[in-house]
Amino acid sequence: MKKATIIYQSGQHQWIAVARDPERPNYLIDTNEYLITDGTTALLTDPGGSEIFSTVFSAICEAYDPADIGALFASHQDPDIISSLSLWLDFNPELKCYLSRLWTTFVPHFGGIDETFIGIPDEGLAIAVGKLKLQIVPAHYLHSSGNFHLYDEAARLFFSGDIGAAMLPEELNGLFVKDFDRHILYAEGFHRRWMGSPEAKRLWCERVATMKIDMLCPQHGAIYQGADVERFINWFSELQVGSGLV
Amino acid sequence: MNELKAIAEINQEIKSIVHAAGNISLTATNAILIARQAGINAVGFSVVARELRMFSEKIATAMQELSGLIYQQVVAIAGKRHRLRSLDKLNTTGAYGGLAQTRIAPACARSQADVDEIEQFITSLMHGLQVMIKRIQKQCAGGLVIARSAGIEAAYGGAMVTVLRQIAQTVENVIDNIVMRVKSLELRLTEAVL
Repeated sequence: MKKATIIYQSGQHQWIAVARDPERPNYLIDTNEYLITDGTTALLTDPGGSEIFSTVFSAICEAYDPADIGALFASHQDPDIISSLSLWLDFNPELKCYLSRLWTTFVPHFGGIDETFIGIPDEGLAIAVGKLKLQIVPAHYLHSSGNFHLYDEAARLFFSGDIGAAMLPEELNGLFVKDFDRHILYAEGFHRRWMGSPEAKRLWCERVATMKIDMLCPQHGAIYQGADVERFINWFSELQVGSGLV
Repeated sequence: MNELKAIAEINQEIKSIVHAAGNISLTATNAILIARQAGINAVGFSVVARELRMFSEKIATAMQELSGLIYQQVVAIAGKRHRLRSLDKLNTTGAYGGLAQTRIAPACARSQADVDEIEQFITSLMHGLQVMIKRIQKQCAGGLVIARSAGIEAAYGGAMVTVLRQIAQTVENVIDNIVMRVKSLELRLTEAVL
């Protein structure tokens, strides 16, 4: 089963990372889910694929009552991001799902009805989760054409979707990046192949560099914290990416 | 047998019946034209040929209705499969025990209720299909009587008697074939229900 770890806490305000299932079969890519709560309600980022619903749900139950999750946030439309949607709606049919307006007619193939979805405009959106104010930040073409990240200014945490993802070997598979130089070797191939636009990458790096971020939390791999956040942004800004690069 | 596979085979059977009914309609139209050439002697045959054309239209309509019911069946079966898959995942979640089991239990119960409801709907649809098949079998029995009447009326066809007899025989063969296919359809439906 996955493990739920509180990675940020200030009063009732928490970020809970749901990650690292030792029983996960190798044919399923590993994913990280983050539960952001003000103590009364919560938002779950990239809730994952239907194959891992059981382990995500059970891990959340250990740390939080899933009945209090009011919204899901899908950074983009991929199956490892949101194909568990119908199961989440089986649990709570009233759940709302934030995702790019581009995907509001695609993702319902995984489940949900018109009322389930809150389409995010291209420029992003400020949203509230209980008393928390979160900023949905555009990250189009990184890698999906309708792609968003999530910034919690009060916690100084940034959910970065596929940016920062790394396919880590067992010995580096901790929840946090411990050795940036070794870690980044396992991120390079993924970013070269998945990030389609140098211009989008440049804009993202410029935007994110102005934000105060203590932790950069990707959907795959380990969390960057402290100085590693800036190291990562610098590394990514230098990385050659773009269509046609394999 | 896999329910969707069974439905696909039933659909194939329906298509072949619709095709055969189309052939009767063409043959009957041809028969009306030939009967006109045969003149006053073939008036009876002409009337029977018109009846045959009506029969083929009725069969085609019935098959269209059957296809509609089959489509509903496919939708329901696909829905059931989807719900069963969800139920399996929810039950797996419950198997983790503890809080997960308690919290997921209402969703499991709702999902199971959905599956039960869909199964009831599928059973009622199957019943509707069987009723419709019985109706089509009766129509076919009527069609055979008309085809045999055509055989009798062909004897009054004067110079065209041979051609009209051939037409009557062809139509009777086609209807026999439809009767057989409808029987096979009934059998497939019974298997699908079991």
